[in-house]
Amino acid sequence: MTVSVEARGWWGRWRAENQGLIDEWRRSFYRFQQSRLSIVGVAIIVFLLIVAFTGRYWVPYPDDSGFTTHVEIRLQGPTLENPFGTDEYGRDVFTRTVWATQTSLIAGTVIVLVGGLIGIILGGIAGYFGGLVNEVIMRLTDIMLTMPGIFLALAITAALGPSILHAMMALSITWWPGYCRLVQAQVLSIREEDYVEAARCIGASRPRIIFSHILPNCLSAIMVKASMDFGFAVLSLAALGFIGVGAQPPVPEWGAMISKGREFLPYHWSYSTFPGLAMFLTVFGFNVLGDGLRDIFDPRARR
Amino acid sequence: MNNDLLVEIKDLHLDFHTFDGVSKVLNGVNLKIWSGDILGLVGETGCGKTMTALSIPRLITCPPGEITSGQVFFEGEDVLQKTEEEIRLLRAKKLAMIFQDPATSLNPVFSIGDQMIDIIGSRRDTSRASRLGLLGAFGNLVPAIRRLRRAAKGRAIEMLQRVGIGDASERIEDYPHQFSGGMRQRVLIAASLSGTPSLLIADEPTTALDVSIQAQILRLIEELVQELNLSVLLITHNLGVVAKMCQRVAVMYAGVVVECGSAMDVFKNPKHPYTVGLLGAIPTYGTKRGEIQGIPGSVPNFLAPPPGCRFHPRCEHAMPRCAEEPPPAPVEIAPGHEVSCFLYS
Amino acid sequence: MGLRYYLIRRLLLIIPVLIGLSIVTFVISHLVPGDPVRLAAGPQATAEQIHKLEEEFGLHKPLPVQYLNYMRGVLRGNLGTSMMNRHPVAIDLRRYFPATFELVVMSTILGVLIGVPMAMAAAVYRDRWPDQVSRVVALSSISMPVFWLGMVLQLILAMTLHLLPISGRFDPRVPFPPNVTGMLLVDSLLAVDLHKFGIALKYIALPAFCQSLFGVALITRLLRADILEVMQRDFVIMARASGLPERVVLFKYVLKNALIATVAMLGFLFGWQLTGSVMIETVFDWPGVGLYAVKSAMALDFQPIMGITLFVGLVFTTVNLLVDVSYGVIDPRIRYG
Repeated sequence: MTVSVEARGWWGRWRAENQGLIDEWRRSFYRFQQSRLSIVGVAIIVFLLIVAFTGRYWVPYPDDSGFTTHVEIRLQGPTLENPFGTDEYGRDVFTRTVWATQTSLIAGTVIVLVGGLIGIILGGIAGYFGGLVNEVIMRLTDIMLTMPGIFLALAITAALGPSILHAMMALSITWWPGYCRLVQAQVLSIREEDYVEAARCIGASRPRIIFSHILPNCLSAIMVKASMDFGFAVLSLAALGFIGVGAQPPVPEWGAMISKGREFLPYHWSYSTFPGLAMFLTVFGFNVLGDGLRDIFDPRARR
Repeated sequence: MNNDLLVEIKDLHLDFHTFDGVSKVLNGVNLKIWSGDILGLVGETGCGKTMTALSIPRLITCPPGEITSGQVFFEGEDVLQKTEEEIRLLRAKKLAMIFQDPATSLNPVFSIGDQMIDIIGSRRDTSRASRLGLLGAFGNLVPAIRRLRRAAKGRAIEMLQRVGIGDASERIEDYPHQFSGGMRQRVLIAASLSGTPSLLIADEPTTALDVSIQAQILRLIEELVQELNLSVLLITHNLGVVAKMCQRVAVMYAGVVVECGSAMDVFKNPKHPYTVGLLGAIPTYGTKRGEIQGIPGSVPNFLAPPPGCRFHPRCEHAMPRCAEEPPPAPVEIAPGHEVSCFLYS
Repeated sequence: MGLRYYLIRRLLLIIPVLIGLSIVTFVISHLVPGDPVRLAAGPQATAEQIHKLEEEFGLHKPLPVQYLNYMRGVLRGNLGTSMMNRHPVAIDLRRYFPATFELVVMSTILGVLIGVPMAMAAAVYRDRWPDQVSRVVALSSISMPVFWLGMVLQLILAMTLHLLPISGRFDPRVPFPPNVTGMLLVDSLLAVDLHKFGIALKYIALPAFCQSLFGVALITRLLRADILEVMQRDFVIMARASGLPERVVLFKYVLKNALIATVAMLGFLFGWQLTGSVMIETVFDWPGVGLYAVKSAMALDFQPIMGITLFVGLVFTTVNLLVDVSYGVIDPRIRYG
């Protein structure tokens, strides 16, 4: 690819050198835009991010995220003052639902990030070095995958003591095998590709090969998996909260709220219903995004 | 060569909608196939030969494809106007098709017997054909279907033996991957010719095969054509095959049939500049080193084809009108020999 | 020939995997802090009582010895004893497993029954409304917090409209059908008791439906993609060119090829549902392994934890093996390849 001498500065030169890549991105972006559903997904996520990060500043009853009680208005249905109703202590469910958004989003990110990082590193090592290292790591991965994930997380959390932090740690531990297997398979196949062989012949150092050649090609698969995983992470965290080993009172958390609200069915239905709705919306948004990303990156699924 | 016009394609324009734009694949194709003809359709890869052939049984998937204008007549009726049902019966009863790659043309998860029974059985009305196909082996439980299957199986074994698969009654239970490439092509030939078709469309039937097998398969096709009195549309980019097997030749370039006539006429007296260049590029026994003449330039981009005649950028006889007007309708310069070129109109 | 050898290899491989599983679980359940004995004995326990419990469960011996004793017991069929309720784990598992198995099988069947037609409609009417609807349904199904949906459906269908029972497995006033497999649906059919079959069906309807959603989503998306990919292949064009009716092309030629990947996925689905049953069983009071697992985990009762993990692991690997076998049935290339 000839680079014109007059390309201005490093930005111009980078653009000229990577014209192919830029075209590809532009095409992908265009394709992404074409699906109405993907736009909806992005809109939902943007909305959620705003709510999550600014929510603490504009919720109607910020104290209700803690231990306050207003027993006189306990267990009310949706009203103008309490759009989602109140819980058994009289706290505003709307406030607590919004408060929980930030917790869940951060937790989900941490779980996927930590689990993903461990998995990627292990998978990369396994795939690249092959041989005994590969066998050992993959057997370990197989074993972990045979174990029921939630069950393991449950056991760990119960042992460490119920808390949202422990739940996050436990879930991160159950999360890494998926990424390990994905990355290992990718690295194994890419390692055999001609261009890696060529790079090695020219004398490229190992880290350079790994970072410049192998990892970028795994990236799209990892990104697709991560965006779908985020939703699962949030759901798993809520599941642990539902069982009772996640967030402990008074910390607002969707799963815990739904679980508590069950005790008051059927008459006081709003307590359980709205946090669940919020959770559904969140996970839905991220899954739509992940679906849209997969449409772009996975040639097989291309429309 | 009788006077019955079996196939007539008139000014066919085909567009393909791709992500990068609209690819104008066929740009006014004119083709005639008479009853009893063996017509070779030649041209470079990508010039639209397969698309032209697929338009006869209307096998082009539309969306992405779109036939913007033109007509395709088979036995006097416009194929493009027919209903789904009529087209299906046409494909089953009157047309036979052989594709290029025998490895992928057979369904890997069904035995060849199953597939041949389905094909033979599809020559009846749709409901019976559907029942036969969908019930598969369970059809043997229904007496009517069992009779159909037995008859179809008999015919299948007969055809397999005819194409040279000796132990047909055992091999009929085998799966496609248990056959070699040449055998698979024989199976496909047996399947498609098991009925009473009037036209055989063979799309590069030997390109994917070993050279030694190619000759065998071509001979087989020749024999069957004679035996069954078939008309043939043989697509190939191998001029040697054309010279050996075809009575008439049609030359295609970039979505247009540029020249068409008897093999003798076209090879001895090529008129269109492209045909001249093509034939001139073939090294013969006497060609000395360094004397091979190619055609300057390259094949046009179908997304943004040159205006007018698509060959004009590479043509040494190009005139101003070649770039302005669309390529002319075929002109008969000798009995049976037609050219589509402004030099002659 | 090839298939037999492959199967034997797979069967043999199960053993080291299960051993590895047991070691990992054992290590984890003993490494994490927490004192199950104290939990089991209760807050009022004296030091002496705790000591006696520890003796009883052999907790004073070194870890490797404990492990070996445990595994020796497993080979004899003794999966240990629960500290909570003093039942042998094997007995409890036998009591709870059929319920979970029934639930998982029903939800898988439901998933297939709903998912396959949706996938086909989505593929055939690509980019038109059936496709868009199926996409939204699939995405919603994966995004749905299953325990929340179960609760909402309970609220609407059971508590308010009284169409279906709220929770539980069977009408408490009606005796179970005679116990053959432990699965109520099967047992009532075997006893030719349609009345009880109907009851069991009503009770399993809601839990199975909630469980099935994940499968519906997976099948719809994956099968659709596979169908679309298979439809591009040459033999489909050949089939059409030979004049086969479109119905046959679609339901026979395309579907069988496309289902190959879906069958593989059923194995994964089964495993996922086994773990997901934890949620469903909690919401619907379904007396299965999931509920048992939760209680054991909360109590750090490691003998049931070990037993359940080993058992689930075994079931999981067996199911995967069966899936591989059915691969051979569907795709003859593997059989004779």
